Amino acid sequence: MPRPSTERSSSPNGYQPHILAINNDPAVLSLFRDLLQEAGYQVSTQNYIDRDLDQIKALKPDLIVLDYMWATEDASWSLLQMLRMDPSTVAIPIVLCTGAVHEVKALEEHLVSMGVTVVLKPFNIDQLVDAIRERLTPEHPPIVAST
Amino acid sequence: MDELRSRLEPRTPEQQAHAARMHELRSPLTVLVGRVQLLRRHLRGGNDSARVQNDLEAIEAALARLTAAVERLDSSQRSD
Repeated sequence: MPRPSTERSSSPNGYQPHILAINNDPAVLSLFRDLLQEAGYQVSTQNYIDRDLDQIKALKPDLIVLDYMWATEDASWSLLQMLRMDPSTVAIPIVLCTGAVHEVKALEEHLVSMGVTVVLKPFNIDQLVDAIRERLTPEHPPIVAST
Repeated sequence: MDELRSRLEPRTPEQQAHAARMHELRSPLTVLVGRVQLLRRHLRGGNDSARVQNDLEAIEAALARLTAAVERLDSSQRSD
C-alpha cells in the first residue's frame, strides 16, 4: 500500500502545524502541497484509494483538508464518516473542499455542526489558507467560505 | 449520517453521469485557478525560476486534461 507523503518546509518560528490533504487527484495534491508549504505548514498527502484510518492516526495531523467529490464513488463521504466516528480523530478539524456547491450549501448547517468548514471550488488560494488558519485557532468556529 | 449521505449523493444515473462529468472538469479547473495564483505570487517574488517552471508545467498539464475532458463531453453529447 502506498505510504502517505510528508514534507516539512523550513520555518524560523518553531512549531509548524501539520496538515493532511486527501484527494484522488495527484495534480490537486501537488497544488495543496506547494501552497500549504509556502504558507508555513508541514504537509502530508494521501490518496482516497488508501482510505487508511490507521495511517491518518499515525500521522496525527492538526487539520485535514478533504476533497468532497459529488460523484459516483463514495470514498470521500466514507472517509468523513470514519473520521467523525473514531474517538482518536473526531476532534481533528476538517476543511472540506468541494465543487458540489448547491448540494453542500443545502447541508451547510449540518456540516458545521460536525465541525466541518467548507471551502467551495474553484477557490482563491488565500481563502483556503485563511480557512485553515481560522480552524487552527481554537476559538474560531467552523465556517463556510464561498467565492 | 446515513440520511445526510443519501441527501448528498446523486440518485439517478443521469445525476451520477452529470456529477462525474463535473468532477472531470472541476479538478483541472481547480488546479488551473490555484496554479495561476501561485505563479503570480512566484513571479512577484523574483528569482524563483524552479517554482515558476513547476507552476507552468502544472498549468499546461491541467489545460491538456481540461481540453480532453471537453472533447469527451462533446463526443458524448453528439453520440446521445
